[in-house]
Amino acid sequence: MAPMKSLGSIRRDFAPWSDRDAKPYILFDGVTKQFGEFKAVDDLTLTIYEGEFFALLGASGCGKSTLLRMLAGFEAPSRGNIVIDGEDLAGTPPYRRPVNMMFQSYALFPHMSVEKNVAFGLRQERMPRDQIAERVDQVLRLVKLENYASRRPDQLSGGQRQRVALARSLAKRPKVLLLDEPLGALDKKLREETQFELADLQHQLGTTFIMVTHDQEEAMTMADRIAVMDQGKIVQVATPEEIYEAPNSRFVADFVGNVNVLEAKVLRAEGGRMSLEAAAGFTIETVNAVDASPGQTVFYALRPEKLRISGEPLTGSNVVAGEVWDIAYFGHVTSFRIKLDSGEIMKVAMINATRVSPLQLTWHDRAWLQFDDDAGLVLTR
Amino acid sequence: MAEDVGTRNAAAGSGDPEVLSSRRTRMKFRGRAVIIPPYVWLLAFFLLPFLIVFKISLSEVVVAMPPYRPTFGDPSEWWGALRQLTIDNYLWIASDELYINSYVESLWIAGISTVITLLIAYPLAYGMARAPAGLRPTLLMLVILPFWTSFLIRVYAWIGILKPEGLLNQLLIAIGLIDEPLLIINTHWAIFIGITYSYLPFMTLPIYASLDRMDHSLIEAAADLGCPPLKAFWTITLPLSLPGVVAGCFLVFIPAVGEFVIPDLLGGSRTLMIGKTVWLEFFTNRDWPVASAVAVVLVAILVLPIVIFQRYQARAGG
Amino acid sequence: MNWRLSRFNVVALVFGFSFLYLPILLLVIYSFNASRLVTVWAGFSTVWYRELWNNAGLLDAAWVTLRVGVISAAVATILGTMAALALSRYGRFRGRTLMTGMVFAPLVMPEVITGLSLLLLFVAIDLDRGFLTITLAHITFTMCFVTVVVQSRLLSFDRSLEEAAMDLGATPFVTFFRVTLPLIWPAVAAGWMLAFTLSLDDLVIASFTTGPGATTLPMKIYSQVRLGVTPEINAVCTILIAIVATGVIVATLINKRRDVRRIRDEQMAAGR
Repeated sequence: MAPMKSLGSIRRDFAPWSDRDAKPYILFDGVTKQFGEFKAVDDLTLTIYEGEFFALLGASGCGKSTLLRMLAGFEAPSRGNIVIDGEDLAGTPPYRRPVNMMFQSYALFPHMSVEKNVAFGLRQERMPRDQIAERVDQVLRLVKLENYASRRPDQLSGGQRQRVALARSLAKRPKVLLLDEPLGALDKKLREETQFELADLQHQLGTTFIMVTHDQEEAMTMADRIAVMDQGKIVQVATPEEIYEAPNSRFVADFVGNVNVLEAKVLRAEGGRMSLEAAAGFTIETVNAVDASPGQTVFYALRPEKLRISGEPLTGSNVVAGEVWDIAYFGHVTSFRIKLDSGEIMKVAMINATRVSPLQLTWHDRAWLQFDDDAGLVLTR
Repeated sequence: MAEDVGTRNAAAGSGDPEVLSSRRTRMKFRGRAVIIPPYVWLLAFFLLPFLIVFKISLSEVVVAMPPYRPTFGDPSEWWGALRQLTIDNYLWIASDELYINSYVESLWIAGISTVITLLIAYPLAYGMARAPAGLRPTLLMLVILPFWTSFLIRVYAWIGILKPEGLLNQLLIAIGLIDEPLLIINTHWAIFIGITYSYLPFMTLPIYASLDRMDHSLIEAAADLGCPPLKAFWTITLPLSLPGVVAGCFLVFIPAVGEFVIPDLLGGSRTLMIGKTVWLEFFTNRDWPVASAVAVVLVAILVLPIVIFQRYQARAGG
Repeated sequence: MNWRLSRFNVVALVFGFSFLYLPILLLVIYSFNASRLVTVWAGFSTVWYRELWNNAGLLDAAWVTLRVGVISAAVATILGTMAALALSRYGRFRGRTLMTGMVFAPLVMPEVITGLSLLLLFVAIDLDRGFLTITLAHITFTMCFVTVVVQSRLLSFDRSLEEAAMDLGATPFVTFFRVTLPLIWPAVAAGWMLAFTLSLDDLVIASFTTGPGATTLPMKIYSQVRLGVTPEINAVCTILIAIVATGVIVATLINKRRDVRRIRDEQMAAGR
C-alpha cells in the first residue's frame, strides 16, 4: 500500500523510522520464545529508535508481555538476538541490564517506604548517599509525590502507587523504560488524565519508553508508534493514525476501533480506482485501489463515522439501504446499527454537532447510508 | 416461617419502626443462641478446670482421696476452708532447684529446637513455594500427611533409629564414618531431633503460606533494579516472609516448652522438661497440689508468648 | 542463575521430605521383620500382624479409641462450628474477648496442663473416670481446632450470599441450613477429620482423664514402648499409618476431582 502523505506522527519533527540513516536503538532479530509446544513469540523482528514511545498492542496471550519480559531479562529467547544500543543482551541477567520496568502490579516492596522503594535501584549501584537523596527527591517531584516520601505503599491510593512505581523505575535513568499495562489498574477517569501525563513526561525526559497494553485507546493516545501483535507475530507497525486509517489487514482494522468489514468482489480496477460488488448487493467505488484482479474476493473496511445516514431515499453508488435496528445515544455521538436488506448489520456513528439533531430516525424506520469514495479501504487479508 | 415473611412484608410495607425493631431483636436473639453452647462448654471445661488447678495449687497434700485439703465440699465450711489455702507449694517450687532447672531446661530446649526446626523448615518451604505450580498441592499434602499420623508413632520411630545399636549408628559404622556407636538417644540431641521432626509441619506451613502469598513480581522488580538474586533474597524475600517465620516459631516454641512425650521417650531420665515434671509429680509422687502449682507457673510463663502471638496474628490478619 | 536456584530447591525438598518420611518408612519396613530384634533384618514376615490379631488387650484399646474418636469428633464439630459462627458472625458481644481467649488458648496449651486441669475438675465434681471423661476431655481440646478451621472458611465467605437468602425471605435458621452450611461444608468435614485424628492420637490428656477399664490405643502403645521397641508395635503403627494415609489420600483425590469438575464447569460457563 502506498504511504499516505497526510498520515504520520503527531510529533511531526520526530519520525526516525522513516529516516533511512537512523540507527536502531533496540533490535529484536528473529526472536522466538517457545514454552513447550507453544510459541509465545514467533520469529519476530522489530526495531525501535532512541527517544521513541513505542506501544505493543494485542489481546492477552498474543506474546506482547513475553517480548517485554525478554527485553527485561526475565525470559531468555529460544532463538534470535536482542540488542540494545549496540550491545547484545544474551546471557546478561536482569540485574545488569540498562533497562527498568514498571510492573503491571507495580510490585512495590510493601515493607519499604516510598523513599526506600525509589532509592532501591540506586542503592544497588552503590551511589553515594547524598546523591541518592537528591535523585529520589528529584524523581518524586517529577511525579508530584514529594510529600509522600515516608509513606508505605499500603497507605497510598491506586494512582499514587502507580506514580511511585513510575518514579522507582525512572530513578536509575535507564536507557529504556518498560511499562507493562501501566494504567491497567486505574479507574477510567484517572486513566485518561494519566495518559497525557505519561506522554508529557516521556517527551520531557526523552527516554525510550516501551509499553505493553491491550487497550487501544491507551496505545493511540500515548505512543509514537504501535506494533499490533497476534499469536506471537507482529501484524503491523505504524503510527496511531496509520493504524487507524490505513490498517493493513482485517485483524488490525477490527482490533483498533470499530469497523464494518464488507465482503466484496472486484469488478474493475484501473487508474488507482476500483469498483467492487459487495456481497450485500450494492456497488462500491473507491480511490484506494489495491493489487487485485477482477473477480477476486476482497474486503472493504469502513469506519462507522465515515458513513452518512439519511431518512430520505438516496441513489447512486456507495449507497445502501436498510432498517434501523438499534440506536444508542452517547452524547457526543449517536451510534446506529442498520440492518441491510441482505441481513448484514452496519454500524454508523453520527457526530452530534448540533444540540437538536435534524435527523428524526427511530427503531424500524427505513434508512439510507452513503459514503465517499475515499472513506474505506480495500483489504486483501 | 410463613409468619416471618408476613411480618417482614408488613414491616417493609408500613415501615413501622416498632415492628422492624422487634423483628431485629428476635433475629438477633435467635442468631446469637449459637454463642451459648460453646461458650458454656468452654467455661465449664476449660476455664473452670483451670481455676480448680489454681485453687488446688494453694492446697496441702494429704493421704486421702482426693489427695489434697481443703476440698470445699460443704458450703457452710467454705470460710474456714478458704483460710487453709497457702502459697507453700509455690515457695517449695521456688526453693527447689529441680523445678527451676526443669523450667530453664524446658525453655532452653524448646528455644534450640525452634531454631533447628526453622533452619530445616525454611529451605523446605522455600523449595515448595518455588516449585512448579502444578506440583505444589502435592508437596503441601506431603508436608501435612505426617501430621495426620500419630504423634506417638512418629516419636517412637526415632527410638529404633537413634539407639546405640539403631539404624543410624549401623549406617554410620557401615560407611566408616565412626567406629563407636554415637550416644544420641537419652541426650538433648535426641529431644532436639524429636521436636524438630514432630513440629516441622507447624513451622513449614506458615512460612510456605507467606512465601506463596508473596507477589513474584517483587523479586523480578528487585532484579530489574539491579539487585542480584542472593541479595534480593535477603532484602525482599526474607523480610516479607517474616510473619510466617514468627508464626511458625511461636507454633513450635509454645507447645515444645510443655512437651511430655518426646522428652519422656527420647530424652531418658537425665533430661527433665517441665511437662515431664508435672507428669511425675502427679502420677509418681501423687502430689497433686505441687503438680498444680508447677502447672500454674508453666502457664504463667507461657501466657506472655501466647498473648504476643495472638496480638501478632490479629494484626497480621487485620 | 535459574538452574542453580532450582538445584538448591531440589536439595532442600529432597532433604526435608527424607527427614519427614524416612523414619516412618523404616518403621513400616521393620514391622515385616522376622526377627524380634527390631534393628536386625532377618527376612520378610507377617508374623507380627498375625500375633496382633490375637492380642485382645490391643484390640479392645483400639475399639475404645475408635468410639471416643467418633463421638468426641462429632460433638466437637458441632460446638466448634457454633463457636466459629459466634466469633465471625456476631461481631461484638459481651465476653467476646474471653471467648476468643478460651478458643485459642487450648491450641497451644501444653497437653499436660489441659489433662491435669480436666482431671481435677472431674475429681472435684466426683464424676467417675472412664470412657465418658475421656470423651468430654477430647471434645474440649479438639473443638478449638474445629473452630479455627471453620472460622477461616467463614472469613473468606461472601456475606452477601446470606444477605441474599434473607432478602429472598429465608429466616436465619433456613439461611444457615440451606446456604451457609452447604458452602462451609468442606471446612466442617475437615474439622471433623482433624478432631477425630487428634482424638485418636492423644496420649497425655487421655492418660490423665482415664479410669479403670478405659484404655486407649495410644496409652497401650505408650506402656509397651516404654519397655522397648517391639515388632508388634511397629505392626500396629503400620496399620494406623496405612489407615490414615488412605483416608487422607482418598479425601484429597475427591477434593481434587471436585475442583477439576468445578473448573471445567466454570470454563464451560464462561465459554458458553
